[in-house]
Amino acid sequence: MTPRDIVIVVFILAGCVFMLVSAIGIVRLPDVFARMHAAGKASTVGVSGLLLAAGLYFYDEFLMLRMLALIALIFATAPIATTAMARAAYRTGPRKRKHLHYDEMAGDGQAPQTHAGERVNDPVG
Amino acid sequence: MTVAFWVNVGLVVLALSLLLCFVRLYLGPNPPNRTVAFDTIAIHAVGIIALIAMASNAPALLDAAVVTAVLGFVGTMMFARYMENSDLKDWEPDEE
Repeated sequence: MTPRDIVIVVFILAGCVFMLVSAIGIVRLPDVFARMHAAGKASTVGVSGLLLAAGLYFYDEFLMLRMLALIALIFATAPIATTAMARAAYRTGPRKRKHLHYDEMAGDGQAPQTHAGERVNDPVG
Repeated sequence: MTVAFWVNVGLVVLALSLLLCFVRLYLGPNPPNRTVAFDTIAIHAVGIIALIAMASNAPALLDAAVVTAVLGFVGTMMFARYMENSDLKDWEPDEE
């Protein structure tokens, strides 16, 4: 194996392990916000590792430039999508929020009245 | 231990990971959880397309990865906007 092959294999394994850990987190974590936090790992480190491995594998600088542009696109769109999902889940979502210790959007006005608002002054968190 | 072997190992790992995402898509008690699962499935599709392009030595498949990434983002935003403006307030809460 040449050193380039070793770099490709390291990128592939790092990306796959991050995506597997992220999927385990999506199944195991208790809350929709915690699951979003786990999903962010796959959409940043995991997929960028796999795309960098693909760009290195074909040994084409134009293709590598396209892969970097795709990574930049994913890094730009993933926080927007996660923010929209979190806002929708907060405003319309489930009433029971046992795991939401800090609620910075309690004075939002558009949020449904839940018992999460009672815990906003809890200093322990 | 060539690169092709490790590409196949990566495809097996991503298949298991995709199966876990479908478990959440099936179990998820309300639409926000299913939207999170859908977003992760779209990201997994991008990674699997990149690995298949390496396994079959076809760099043209990487254009499909670009399109899949954009469509996954658009679909996630669509679900989020729909949930935010919908009147379905009687969703089941998270189980724990």
